[in-house]
Amino acid sequence: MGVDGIMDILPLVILLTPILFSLSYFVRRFRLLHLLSASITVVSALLLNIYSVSEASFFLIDSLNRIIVLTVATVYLLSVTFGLGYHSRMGESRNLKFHMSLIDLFASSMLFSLMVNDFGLLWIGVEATTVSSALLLVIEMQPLDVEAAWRYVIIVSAGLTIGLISVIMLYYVYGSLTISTLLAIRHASTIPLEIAAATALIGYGTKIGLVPMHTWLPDAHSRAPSEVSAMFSGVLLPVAVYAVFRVYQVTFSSKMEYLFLIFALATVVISAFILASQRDLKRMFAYSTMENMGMMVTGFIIGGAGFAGALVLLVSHAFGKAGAFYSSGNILESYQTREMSRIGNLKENMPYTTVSLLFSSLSVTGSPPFGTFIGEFLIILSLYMAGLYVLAVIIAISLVIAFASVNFKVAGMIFTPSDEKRSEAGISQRAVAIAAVVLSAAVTIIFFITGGYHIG
Amino acid sequence: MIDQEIVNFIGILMLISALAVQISSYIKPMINSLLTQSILLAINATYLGLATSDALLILLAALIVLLRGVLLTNILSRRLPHGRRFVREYSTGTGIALLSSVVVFIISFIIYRIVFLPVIGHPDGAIALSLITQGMLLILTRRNSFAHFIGFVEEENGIVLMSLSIIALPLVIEINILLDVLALVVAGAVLIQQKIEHEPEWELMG
Repeated sequence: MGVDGIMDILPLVILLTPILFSLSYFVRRFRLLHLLSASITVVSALLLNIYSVSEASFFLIDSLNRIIVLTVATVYLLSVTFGLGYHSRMGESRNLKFHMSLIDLFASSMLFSLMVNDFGLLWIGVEATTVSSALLLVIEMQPLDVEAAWRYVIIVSAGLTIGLISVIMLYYVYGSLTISTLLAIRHASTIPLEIAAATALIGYGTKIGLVPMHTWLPDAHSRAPSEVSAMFSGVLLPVAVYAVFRVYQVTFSSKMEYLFLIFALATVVISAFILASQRDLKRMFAYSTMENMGMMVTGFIIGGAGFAGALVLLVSHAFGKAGAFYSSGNILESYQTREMSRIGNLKENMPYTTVSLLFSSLSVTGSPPFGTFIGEFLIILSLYMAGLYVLAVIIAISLVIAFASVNFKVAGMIFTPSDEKRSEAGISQRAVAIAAVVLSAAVTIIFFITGGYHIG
Repeated sequence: MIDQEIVNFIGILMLISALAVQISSYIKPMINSLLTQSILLAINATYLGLATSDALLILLAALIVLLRGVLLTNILSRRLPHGRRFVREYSTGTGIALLSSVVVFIISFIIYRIVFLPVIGHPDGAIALSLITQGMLLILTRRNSFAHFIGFVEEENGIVLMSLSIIALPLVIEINILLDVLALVVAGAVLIQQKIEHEPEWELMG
């Protein structure tokens, strides 16, 4: 077996490592094992991007999903590291052990969804992310956490069930659910395929948080522990974007293109306006995620430079948003509140967290030099080049509103004078938040070095 | 050879069970109606399996009875607090529930006739679509965790029925879906234990 042959088992290693290490619930040194699991997954995902792997078998690995796999694995490692510091006061409690094991299973279910070469199994993988993440929200069993978790479980599961109709319709039309087979077929636009596309949009759109199926998203993101919010915003939602894009690829029609764009546009515009009225720090970042997901869907659907833009935005946003939620977690731990009006003088009290919060906010609102800026620029450019001028202008205005809303509120927390003395977060939490922001900026460099603008 | 009258008869019984779920205000009878519905679904799969000599459909029927019928309803029943029979919710009156249920039935049939019928060519999926929308209606109109979950499972029953009516999915997919739903109910059962009634929360607004 050559190097490439050995590399063929990489998807299996990526998938099984977190599952295997989730058994560390029964082991005393569980912290080290979770870190080891996430590290092995990152290294394997990195190798998957370096070496060629047989593209289609049980797994489908292509230029799109191998990058997302690496992003998921990296955010998984960052979140495990952050979570172990953030929940350190829980010691070796069963709750923490269970929580960390669920994070492993959650990561594994996302990676499964990304790599599997079957639309039925893709749906099952996305549903499994709900199963594995439902209890991640309730580590402390606060009544509001339980309420948010319940809304998440019920709304997302009920929505995803509609997505299953798309699987039935795809099987009805093609007689196969193998993604690589369906991608190779030149399909004609038919009503069953349009039903498949529309039901996938509703089903996976619920998970993505597209308007009007988004109601669970701000609740779950605001109440989840910060490392989980980071995984939700940074990588879970993009996994659902990937799923809906795969369905779109095999059901494409101009009618469906408009339908997808309408939902994406509504999400960008509405979330941008809601952002302006937010009082809760984590809810604000949750709405910012919705806005970015709307942009990603727009980019993937419009194609060309927009596709490259969506991919860059996906990766850079994942790290930027993870950094924003880690910073929020540090602030929540120190100030014991999510209310932004009650948080002040961050620059004096928490200088490191100030840096990570400020730059992560700039990142998620699409400021240069972050990859999000390149992504959003390419998406708007491709809309303009496709002759969708009005859409491009509406999106550009929405992005400006979102930028102003988020950064104005963040600046308020950093610079508003306050006599309150608060302590900075633990070193691992600070380091992880800053590392996430650095990675978000590094995406820009990688984009130019690898000639990312040729993708799509 | 499939006798369509038998399939339709089972489908109508499933619709009646959905109606029974809608008008119940006590949780225990709702769970019983869901059990009946799941068993009817299994009977449908068994009949189709026998009529088409497809052993996999009979296996699917057995799994529906085991996982969705016995195990799932048992989990829900065990989560009911003490005085099990008397857990009820007051969010919807029987009259309103019945009326909205009938309206949703009619809308589902109209949607099926306009969207699906020209494509599929036969009306079998209409009952399945109605079951899906009935499940969603239950989730929308109730505040009780048990009712939400029963609505979700009803939706899933509708999907399995739709798959049987239009085209049976590969068994491995069907089994995984059944297991996935079961796992979700197990995870949800932990949450049910903490909170049964759901009211609007000020901190989760905006």
